[in-house]
Amino acid sequence: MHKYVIRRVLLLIPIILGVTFIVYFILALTPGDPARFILGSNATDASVEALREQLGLNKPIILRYFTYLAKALRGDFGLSYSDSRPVFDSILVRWPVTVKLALFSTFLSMVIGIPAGIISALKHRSRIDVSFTLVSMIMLGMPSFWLALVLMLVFSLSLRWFPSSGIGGWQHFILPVATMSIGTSASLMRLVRSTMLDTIKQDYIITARAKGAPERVVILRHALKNALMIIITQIGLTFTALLAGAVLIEQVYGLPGLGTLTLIAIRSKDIPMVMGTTIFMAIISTLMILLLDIIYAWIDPRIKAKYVGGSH
Amino acid sequence: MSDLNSLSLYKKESLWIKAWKRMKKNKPAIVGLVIILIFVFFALFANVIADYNEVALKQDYTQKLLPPNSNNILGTDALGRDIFARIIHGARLSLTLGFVIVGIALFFGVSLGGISAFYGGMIDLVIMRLLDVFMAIPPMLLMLSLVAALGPGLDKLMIALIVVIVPGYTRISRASMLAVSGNEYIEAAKACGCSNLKIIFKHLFPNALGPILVVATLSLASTIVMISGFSFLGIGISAPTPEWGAMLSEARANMRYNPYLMIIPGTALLLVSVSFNLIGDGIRDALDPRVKG
Repeated sequence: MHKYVIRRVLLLIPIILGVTFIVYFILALTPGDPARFILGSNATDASVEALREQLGLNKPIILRYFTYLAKALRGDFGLSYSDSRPVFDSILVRWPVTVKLALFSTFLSMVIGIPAGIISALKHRSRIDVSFTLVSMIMLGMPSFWLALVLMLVFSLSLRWFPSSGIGGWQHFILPVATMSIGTSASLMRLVRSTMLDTIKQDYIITARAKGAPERVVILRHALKNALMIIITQIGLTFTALLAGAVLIEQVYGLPGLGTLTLIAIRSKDIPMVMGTTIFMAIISTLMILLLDIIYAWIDPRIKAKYVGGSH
Repeated sequence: MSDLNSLSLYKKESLWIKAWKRMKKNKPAIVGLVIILIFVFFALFANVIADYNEVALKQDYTQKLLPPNSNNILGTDALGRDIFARIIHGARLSLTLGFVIVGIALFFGVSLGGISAFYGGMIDLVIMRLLDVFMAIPPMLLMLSLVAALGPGLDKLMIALIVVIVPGYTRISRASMLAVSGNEYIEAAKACGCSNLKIIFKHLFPNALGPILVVATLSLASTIVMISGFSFLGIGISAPTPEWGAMLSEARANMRYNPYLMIIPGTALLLVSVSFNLIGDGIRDALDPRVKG
């Protein structure tokens, strides 16, 4: 088992390098000279050139990238252009909000999407299935930021059940998490439904039924377990999409997360900050996918067997 | 000879005509198609119905925040502009941008996918590995960094969206062309001495079109929502342009007492997005009746 984990971690390295390099490359190509930006427009050409040399801006991009990454892994993402404070300090304060949002929403999507998908597949073409499918189509097409406004209008401005913005207790998370889970629970439901429909037709399900296994066991132990790989992969994608997608929802509900931080940085052209937040989120996303890979291997006896070497 | 011609003609049409016949029975897809056609109609005649400068942009403080009435069927906004005029001009903008972005992305995606599938080997390997890395980045994250790097503006937003969706198109084009290229009729065309170009355009591409068309239709929905999302955040299309996301952003200040300001543009966006999804699903079911759920 630990061999498998080591293999996955090793496979992760080129992905993290590739992903962070692309983000770094895109942002490093931003028009405008960072040295000029830091010193202001009154600085002399000589002092700008000196700072360029000092910041290493004259070196080739690939070298700059590895320097950046080496520092980033030690928690040094450089200084913000806006307030000259370390980027990592701002990230450290904000990241729990966004990660909590993404985790809770992923969890809620699973709680809604997986059972709904199973019911829909088991009652294939029934009235429940048709209405679930129709509702999921609407949820899937729902623009999240608009839904956020609608929920805010109904539940906080009119009914006053929940606070409309800011951060505080758990009440502040209810509406944002509900908003974020709508689209992802619909796509998870559709995936579970179609995967289950495929699985139910397989021979081993017929065998299990023929052996007289109770329907609950057939569905949970045999059908669902085999649909798990696709579902787990989708959960990883859901989490990563929610993490980056939180920017819209944080904006509506005024939550001080990484999304809001990135947005403010984009507006004020604070490139080190944008680089820091995006690379940080990219690394979290990749680590989450690794974690799910390991969970999957732990569930799936086929992968376990491969690495245990057949000795049961 | 004439028999042969009619036979080939019949065979050529049958796939798409059969698909259309199946799609006609798919009620949700037809509803989606009708809704999109209505939006397309208004978008095409937007200038005839309500002039862009004279109505959609004209501010009139004596007419501000009017709820829907006989003069302004969808009411007016906080600057006294007619919401209906802004919605149809917004439709014109969103649909045009959606089709242009998806069109350009299709051109690049299908070309890259075709090159990858046709030549294989090193070229295929390099293109696919590059795409793998791009696809490992969550789309929204890639969008944010591209917008940050390129700066605000419509053209920049379009470039960012194209960069984000091309990898997916390339992968699906490559996969479906590879699937088709294994067929015997491609072998037959090669044996007949057809040129590479003729094989690609006459045999490979039309038969591989199905899955690409489905993905393109579905991504019309997400592209249009994404444009609005970025305009809503203030890093896409900005005021006073009548863009649905920008309208939603403007509506926030007054939505407590004038909810229609926020309900109307959002509903338009929802209708367009759900309709394209329904059409995309319809095309998929129609082209591949086996998976019809």
